[in-house]
Amino acid sequence: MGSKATSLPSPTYIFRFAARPSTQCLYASQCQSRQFTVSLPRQRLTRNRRKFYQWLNGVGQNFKQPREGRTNYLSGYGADGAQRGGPSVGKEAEGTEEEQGDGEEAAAQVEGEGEGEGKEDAKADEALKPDEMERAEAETEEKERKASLREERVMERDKNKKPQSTRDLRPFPLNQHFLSQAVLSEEFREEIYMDIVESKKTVRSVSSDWGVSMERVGAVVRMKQMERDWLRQGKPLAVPYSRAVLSMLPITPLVDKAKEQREADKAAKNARDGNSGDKRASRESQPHEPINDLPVHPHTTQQLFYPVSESRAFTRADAGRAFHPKLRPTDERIPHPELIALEQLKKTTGNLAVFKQGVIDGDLASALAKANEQKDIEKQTVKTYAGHKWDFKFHDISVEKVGKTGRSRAGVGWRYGMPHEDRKPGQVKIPVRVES
Amino acid sequence: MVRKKNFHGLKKIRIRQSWNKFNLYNLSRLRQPFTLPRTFFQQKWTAKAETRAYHGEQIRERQWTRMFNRYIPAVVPMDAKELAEDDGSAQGAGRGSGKDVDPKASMDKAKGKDGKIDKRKMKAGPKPNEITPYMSMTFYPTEKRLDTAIFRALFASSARQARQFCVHGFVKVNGNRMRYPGYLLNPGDMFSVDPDMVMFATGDKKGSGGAAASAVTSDPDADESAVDAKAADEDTIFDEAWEDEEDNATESQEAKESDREPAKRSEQEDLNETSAEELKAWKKELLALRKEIKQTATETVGLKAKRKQELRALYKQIRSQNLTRIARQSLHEYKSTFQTIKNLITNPSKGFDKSTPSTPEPITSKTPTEPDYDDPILSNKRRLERKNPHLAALKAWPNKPDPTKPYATPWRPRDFMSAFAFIPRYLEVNQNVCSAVYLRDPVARPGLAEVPSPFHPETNQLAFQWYLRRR
Repeated sequence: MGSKATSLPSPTYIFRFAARPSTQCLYASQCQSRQFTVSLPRQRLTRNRRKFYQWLNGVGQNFKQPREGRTNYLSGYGADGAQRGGPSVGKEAEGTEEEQGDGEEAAAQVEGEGEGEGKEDAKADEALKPDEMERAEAETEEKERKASLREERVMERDKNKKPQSTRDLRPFPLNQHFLSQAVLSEEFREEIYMDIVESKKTVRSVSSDWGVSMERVGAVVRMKQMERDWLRQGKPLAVPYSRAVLSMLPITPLVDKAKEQREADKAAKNARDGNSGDKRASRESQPHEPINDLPVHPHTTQQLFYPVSESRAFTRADAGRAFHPKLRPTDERIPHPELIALEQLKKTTGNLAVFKQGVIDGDLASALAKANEQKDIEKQTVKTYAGHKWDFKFHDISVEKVGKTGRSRAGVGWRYGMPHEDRKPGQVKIPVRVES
Repeated sequence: MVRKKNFHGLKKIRIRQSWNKFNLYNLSRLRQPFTLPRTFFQQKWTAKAETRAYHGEQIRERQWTRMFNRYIPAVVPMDAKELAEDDGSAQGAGRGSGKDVDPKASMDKAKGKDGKIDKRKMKAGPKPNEITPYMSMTFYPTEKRLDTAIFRALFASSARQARQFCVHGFVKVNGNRMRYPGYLLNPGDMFSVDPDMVMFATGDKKGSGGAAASAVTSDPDADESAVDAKAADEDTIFDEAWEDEEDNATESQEAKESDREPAKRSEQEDLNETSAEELKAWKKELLALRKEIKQTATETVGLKAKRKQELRALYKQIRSQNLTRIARQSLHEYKSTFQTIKNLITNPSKGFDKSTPSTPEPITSKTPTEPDYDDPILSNKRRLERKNPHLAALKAWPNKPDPTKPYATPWRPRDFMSAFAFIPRYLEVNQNVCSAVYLRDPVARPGLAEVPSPFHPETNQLAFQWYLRRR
C-alpha cells in the first residue's frame, strides 16, 4: 500500500486530451484542437485532483471491492489505510463491547463465507437415484452427527472470540449515532415465513419468539410470498444481487432453537455447580431488534411538576395520567404487553403453555372479530347490484365528512364556495396513499 | 431540479447521496467545521448548507421547509422483565426522584467475590453515552420520500438515479406504478423496483475488466467459478464481434477455444488449415442462418421492437461478413447470439437461456473441498436447505454471462459499493424481488439515530436550529 500511495495518477488521464482524434473541419472556429499543435492543452490536474488520485490508488483501493466476511466502511480503516481492529482480538473491540448497551450490534455478524455448500447439497439430493438413497441417508446422518460434535467445539472456541466492533459498523466516521444495523439472513426470513404460513403461528408469537418486530414479520412474509409467486410465474429473481448485498451487510443469522436451549441448560448447570461460567450470552442468541419499543408521546416531552404526598406510591400509570388524563400506561402502550404478564406468571406456578395458547387464541379471536366487523360495516354501507359485466357498488356518503372547514379530503362532491383547484398551476397532485 | 455543475467537486466538500468514488473521497476528508471565530448565524448557515447538500438536495428549499418538523419521533426500548418486576413507584419515592441510596451499601453490592468493585454495577440510571440523539434526526421527513427510500434500500446508486427510476416508471408502490419521486411513503407501503434496473444500477459496468472482479463475485459455485472467470469477458467479446471480425482472437476467446478442442489454435491458423470444402459448408450454414434470422424478424407475430432491432443488427453483421473468410469461431458466435434472441422472443420473462430456477441443473463435477462443518450457523443452514426446496433453489440460482444485459455479466457489484452499503432498520428489504417495505418512520432511540447522516451531531443540531428559527 505504501508504495502505491506515492504513485501518480494513471497516464491515461494526463494524456487524455492529447489523444483526442483529429477531425477535419471546415471552419477554424469549429476546431477544438489544431492538428499542428505540439504543446499539450492546459492541464486540469489541480492539486485537489492529484491528491484524489493519490488517495484512490492508495487508501481508496480498500473500498473498491467488498471485504470478505466483514463490512467495508470508512471507519474500518485508519488514515494510512490500515485495517483497524481485525477479526482477531483487538483492544478497540474489547472497549466497545463493554460500552455497548443492548449488545444487538455486537450480535451482528457478516455472513459471506462458504455459501457454496448449500448448493452442492441440494443438487446432490436431487441427483441421487432411489437405490442410492439409503446409503446417502446413512451418510448424511453420520455427517450430521459429526457436525453437531464440531458445533460444540466451535461454541467453545467462539466464547473467546470478540464480536465485530462498533467501528466496523459505522459507515460515517463523524456520526457516531448512526450504525449499520444487522439485517435478517436469507434463512432467517425463510424460517419466519414457514412459521407463519406452514406452522400457522400468529405474527405476535413469531415476533416474540425470534425477537423481530411485528411489522417486520409481516413484511418478510409478504415479500417471501412474492418471491414464490415470481418463481411460479417464471420471473427472474435478482439472486446474484441479493447474495452480494447480504455479504456486504452485517447479518443476524438464524440459530438453532434446540441448540440454544442446550447451551442455556449447560450455562445453568455451570452456575449451579459454582463454576465461573461465561455469563455473556452467545452472540447468536441476541434478538434481532428490540421488540418492545415505547413511542415517546409528545405530551411526555415537557417537564412537569406534579405534587404528590410522600406516602403515596406513585407508579408509572400515575405518571402517565399526570401528563395527560387519557395517556395510557406504558404497560399497555408497548407492542408486546403480553410479555409482561408472561414474566409475572413465571414467578407464580402458572401454566405457561396455557397462557401462551390463550394469548394466541385471543389474538386470533380479536383479529377475526375485527375482520368480521369490517365486513359488517361494508355490508351495511355498500349496496351491490350485480350487472352484466361488473357489479355496481353504491357507498353511503355522509355530508358531515367535509369537516368543519368543508375542505377535508374525505368530503365528496361539489361543495358550495369551495372551487375545484386541481386545474390551477402549482397544485400538488401526488397521491397520499396507494391501496394495496 | 438540475444537478449542480460541481456535484462531486473536490474544492468545496459536499457529501451527496451517491456511491461515487469522488463522494467517498470527500466523505473521508469531511471534518467537523472549526467554529471558534464564527458567529452563531454563520455556523448555522454553513451547517444548513452542508446538510442540505446531502439530505434531499433535489428538494427545493421551500418544499423542505414545509416538510420540516420540530417534533422528532423517538422510542424507548422497554424490558418486559423489568416492567413486570417494578411498577415504577421506586423512582418517584421519597422526595420525587427515588430514595437516597446509601453509598456504602451500594459499594458492598458492587463488590465481587474477589473484593474488587465493579463500577458498572454502581452506576444507576441510563449510561452517560446513551443520550437520545434527537438532533441527528433533523432530516427524518426526507427519508419518507420514495426516491430516498429506494436509495436507502440499495436499489439505486444515488438518490438522483432513484428519482429517475420513479419518473421513468420502473417503480411500483403496492403493486401500482408510482411516477412521483416525492410520494411520501406510509408505514406498511411496499415499493418495488424493476430487478433489471436494480442490477444495472448496482452492478459493474459492462466491459469493465472481469479478471479482478470475478474473484469477488459471490457465486456459490466453487467449481464453476473458473469457467465464470473465463466467461466474465463474454460481454466484451460480444461487443467486439460486432466491431471487428478479424480482430476477435482475444485471450478469452482463445481460452474458450481451447476448452472446446484439445489443440489450441488461433483463428488465423484455423483459416489456413480449413479446407475449401469446410469453408463451403460454413458458407452454406451462414446463409441458412441469415435466412432464418430474416424469417424470424418478419414472420413472428407480436415481436418486440427491441428484439427486432437486435435481429436486424445481427443480420447486418452477417451480411457484412466476408464469405471467403469465415471462421468457425464467428459462425458459432452468430448462432449463439441468435439462439439468445430467440429465447428472449419465446420466453421474454426468462431472459437468457438458463434452466428453470426451480430445477437446478445437475452437478457435473464434485467440489474437491470438504464443506465447512466447523461453523454452527452454516451447518444449521444446510439442514434447513435440505428441508426447504425454495431455499435450495435460491442457493443454486445461476449467475451466468448474458450479453443482452446492460450490465457486466456474471453480475458483480459495482466498485465502491461496499463502503456505502447499509440498510436502515425502518426498511425491510427483500433483495431477491427488489422490493422493500417501509415499516415505520425512522426514530431516535437511546444512543442511536436511524436517519443515515454523514455529519457530526453538532452540525446536525445547528441545521435543526436554522430551520427552527423560521417556525
